[in-house]
Amino acid sequence: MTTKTMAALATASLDTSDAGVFSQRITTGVLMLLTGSVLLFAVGFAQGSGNFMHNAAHDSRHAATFPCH
Amino acid sequence: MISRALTTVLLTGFVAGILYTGAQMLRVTPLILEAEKYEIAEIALPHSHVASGITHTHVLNGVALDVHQRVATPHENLPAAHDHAGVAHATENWAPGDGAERTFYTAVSNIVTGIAFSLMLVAVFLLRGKTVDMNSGILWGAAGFAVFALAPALGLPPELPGMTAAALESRQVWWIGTVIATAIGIGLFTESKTILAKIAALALLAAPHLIGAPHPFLFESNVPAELSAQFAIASLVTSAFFWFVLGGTSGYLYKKLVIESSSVLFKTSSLNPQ
Repeated sequence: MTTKTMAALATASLDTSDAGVFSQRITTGVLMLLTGSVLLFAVGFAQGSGNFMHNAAHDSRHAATFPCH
Repeated sequence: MISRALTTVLLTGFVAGILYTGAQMLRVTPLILEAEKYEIAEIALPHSHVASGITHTHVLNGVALDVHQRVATPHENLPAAHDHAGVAHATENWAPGDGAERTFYTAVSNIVTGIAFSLMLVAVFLLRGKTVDMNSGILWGAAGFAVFALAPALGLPPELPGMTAAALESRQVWWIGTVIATAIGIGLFTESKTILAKIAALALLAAPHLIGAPHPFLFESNVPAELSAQFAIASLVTSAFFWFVLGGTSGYLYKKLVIESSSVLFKTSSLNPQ
């Protein structure tokens, strides 16, 4: 194996691991963004059964300028 | 990496939520409790004008009301001990009792709010893939404050219980639209290089306010204007504090836990120990 091909192989494997890490980073980021949105909706907007969510998070919603009532 | 990112998020949400709850107790919570005295008066007393012989109709936001109520003066229908549980909540569903229980639920929902915002901040850190530290984290917090507090508050000022407002759903839709437009607008403005993109970003930032937030036809409130004004400022300043803590803590922990432990993720950090 020539030095050149070894270098090429090394670059290829580095690229592959970079791509794997890159996609993992992006996937994690997108999932976290979605989870955050769902959680924010639950705290800020959902009324819940019998207004449970609204009443529990009432003061938070007013303080955080969410439309509440 | 995922577990380290989640640790960053959970720690940040906890720290920011607890400090936020403490800060709220200084000005914001007392104002909410004060306003509720007027809101509770709204449950008031059905009345008729048989005695006076005067007839008229009551219209609320363009809708004629079949049943109207005479608004009682504050405390008129309350026992002296400020124990309105029996009056206010008799026909309502569960709500946390005043005092420690209510503070506890507020703290929990503040922590969940902190975790939700921190999830979004760290998500953006990951998606951008650039290094973040405490100082740049604070700037990210300022951006979050502008997106989630300042821009919506321009159209829909922070509301006290008992204030008049347009239908809840229409305000929620405007709020969500404004947050999304402002977030994309700020992101586009700071990340783009061309003038055209920057102009588009400014248009996005302005659009929700040109469209205008939904407001009632008639502003009518039992809550004194002084209380509303104090509340608007107090809640925005407290939110700013919350966002600075949230951004700074997210940035600090993200650098310590995510960047420094996985340098392969961030080429800049392996080449340049920054």
